[in-house]
Amino acid sequence: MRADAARNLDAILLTAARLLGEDPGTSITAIAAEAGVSRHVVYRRFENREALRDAVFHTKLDAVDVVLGDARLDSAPVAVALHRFVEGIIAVDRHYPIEPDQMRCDDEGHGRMLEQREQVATFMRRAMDERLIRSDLPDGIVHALLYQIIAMLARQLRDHDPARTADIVVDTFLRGVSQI
Amino acid sequence: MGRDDPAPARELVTMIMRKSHSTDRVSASGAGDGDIDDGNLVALQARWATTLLIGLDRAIEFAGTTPLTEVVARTWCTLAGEHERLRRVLEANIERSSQLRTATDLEYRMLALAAGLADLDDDMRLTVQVGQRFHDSILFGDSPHPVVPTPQSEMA
Repeated sequence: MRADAARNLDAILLTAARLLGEDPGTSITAIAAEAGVSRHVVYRRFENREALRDAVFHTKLDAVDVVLGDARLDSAPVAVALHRFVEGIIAVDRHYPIEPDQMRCDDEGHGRMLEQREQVATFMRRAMDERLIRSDLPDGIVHALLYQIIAMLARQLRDHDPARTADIVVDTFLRGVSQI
Repeated sequence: MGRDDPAPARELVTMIMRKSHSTDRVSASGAGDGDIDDGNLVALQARWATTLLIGLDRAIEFAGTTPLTEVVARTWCTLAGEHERLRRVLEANIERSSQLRTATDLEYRMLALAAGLADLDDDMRLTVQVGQRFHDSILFGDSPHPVVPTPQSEMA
């Protein structure tokens, strides 16, 4: 398997992510047809839709791991790390538009997702310590707010590239919408 | 006919699909090179690919112990024979239309994967090449299966 070349599997997983994101009940036959391969080709690798969905989840989690590493949440200047993280997550979410709720079906995937969220929570505490964001809000609010803004604006600003969308997300997150 | 004129373009695609079963002898291009723009050729290729995909799904389902390469080659030949006019149009225009060639790459990938000549972990570009060689072996007679007439063979 070559890591530097697009694999046939990548096309299947991207198609599956898009269709399952739109409708979690999408069949393997529909995914295979959209990807332009016989359904038997997909079944040779994935026993059923759940196995395919788990593969999509883990591929998305792999991509998030790369984003977390590139953002250097523990060492880069906080504002820089925040922007890198948001830009990377927007790109990943657009490639794999699967709702986090669906990821809970797979225990291992859910565990990995919680681990990644803990890394982000740790980064948020660092951002509070360095006074980039407020520390007087109830636990988890800041974290949840960031994810909500990312999810909403990543969808609404589809015609913007991830970098431009990240500019708006970070600005909205840090400054809100007030003019005062 | 241009892309800014979608209704006649749709009619042309529909007309060719309706007559795709026809065995009437037609010009090498099937409908005249000047009449079919890249967008229509890509639309025709997409319809052929869909037809092929449905046929492959069905054929592999009931393949039993028959080798997949044989099942896929036979299915391609059968469908190409049933859609002779459509195949003539596509074959006649593939050299001049880069968009049609790009669209056809999906068919090559479909063939290679369905026949088991490539795996999901393989590089897509290499899979297309493998599929193209397999397709050519069916089309140009290296395969033991019946070969549909091509514009080239007819002109020879």
